[in-house]
Amino acid sequence: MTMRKRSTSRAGQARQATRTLMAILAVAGVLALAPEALRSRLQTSIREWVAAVPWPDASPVAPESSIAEAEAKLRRRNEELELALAAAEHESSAEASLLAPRLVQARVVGRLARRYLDPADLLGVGSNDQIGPESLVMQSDAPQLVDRGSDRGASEDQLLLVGRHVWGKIVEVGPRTALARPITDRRYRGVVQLARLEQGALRRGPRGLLEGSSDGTCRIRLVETVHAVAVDDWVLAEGAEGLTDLPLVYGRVTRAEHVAGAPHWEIGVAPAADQEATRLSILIGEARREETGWASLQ
Amino acid sequence: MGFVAITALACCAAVLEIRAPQFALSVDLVTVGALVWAWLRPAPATIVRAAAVGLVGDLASESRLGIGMTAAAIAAWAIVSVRGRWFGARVDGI
Repeated sequence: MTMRKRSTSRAGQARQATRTLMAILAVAGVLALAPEALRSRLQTSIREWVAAVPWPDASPVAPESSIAEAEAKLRRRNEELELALAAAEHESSAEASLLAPRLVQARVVGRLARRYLDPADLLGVGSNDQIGPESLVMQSDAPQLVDRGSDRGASEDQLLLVGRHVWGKIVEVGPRTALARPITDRRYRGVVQLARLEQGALRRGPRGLLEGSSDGTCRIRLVETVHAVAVDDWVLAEGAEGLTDLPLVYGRVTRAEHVAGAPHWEIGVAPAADQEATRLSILIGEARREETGWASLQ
Repeated sequence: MGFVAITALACCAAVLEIRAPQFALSVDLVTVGALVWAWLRPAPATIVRAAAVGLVGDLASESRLGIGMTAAAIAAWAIVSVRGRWFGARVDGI
C-alpha cells in the first residue's frame, strides 16, 4: 500500500516537473519569438546599464600571445617614432629644402588583372612589336607591376614605400604602368646606411649595399668589419637626404656575423615594409621653384 | 529563497562577465551550479531556478533571448527526471 502511494506520488511529482518545464518553454518561446528590435533593445540596454557601473579595472585581458604581439608592435612603433624624432631633430631645418617630396599612390597589379592591360600601357610598345603584357611581365625579373607610369611622374629607381618603409623600387617605366622590384627580390640592389639610436640621438653608421634574398629577407654587403654593426640597428635608405628629413626605413638588422679573415660583415635584414602590401606610394622629388627663388633665377 | 539567491548570483556573474572579459564563463558556471543543485535536490523548483539563470545568461550575452533559458530548463528537467525515476530520489514539491 505504502509502495503504491509512493509510486503515485512520484508520478505526480514527475508530472509537476513536466508541467513546470512546459511553462518555462512557453515563456522562452514567447521571448524567442519576440520582435528582434525588442529583444536587441532589451539586451543592449541591460549591457549598457551594466557597462555604466563603476568598475575598478574594466580593461579586457587579451590572451597571452595577443599581449605579446601587441607589446612587440607597440615597441616597434615606439622605436620608429624615436628614430623619426631623432632624425627630425637632427636633420630638419627652418630653411625649406630645394626639393619637395611628392607621393603618388600606386597599386600592385595582380597577374590576373595584367591580362586586361593594353600592351601599349606597359612600356610604350605597340602590338606591332609582338609583345603582350603577360610576356613582358613574365620576361622581366621584376615580378610586380604597379598601375602608375611616366604619366604620373614615375621614373626608374624611384622608391616605392609603404608608409615610411621602403618596399622596393621602380625598374622599368611605361606610359601608364611601371615594373617594380621588391627589396626581397634577389636582384634588388640599394645603397643603405646603418643607423642606431644612442640616447635619443640618431647616429648614422656605415654604408652598404642591400640585396634581396630568396627567403623573403635581405642582406647587406660591403660593410667593412672596421665598423661597428649590431643586431637591431636600423637600415635606412641612403641618398634621400634633401628630399625628406625623415629617414626611409628598409628594416632592422637581424644578424651581424664576422667571419674570421673576411673583410666585410655578413648582415641579415628583416624588411620593415609588408611585402604583401598592394597599396604603395611612389616617392617623387620636385623642385620647390617658387620658395627657393629658382624661377626668378631662370 | 533558493530562487532569489541563485538568480542574484547569476546577475552578479553576468555583471562580471560583461565588465571583465576574463570572467567570460561566469554565468555558465552558475548554470552548472543550478544543474548540480537539481541533481542534489531534484524538484520542479530547481528547473525554474536553472531557467532563471539561463535567462540571465541570455540577457547578459548576445545570444537569442530564450535559448539559454530553454537549454538550462530542459537540462534541469532531464536531471530531475533521471534522478527521480532511475535513482529513486525523493522529488520535493515546489
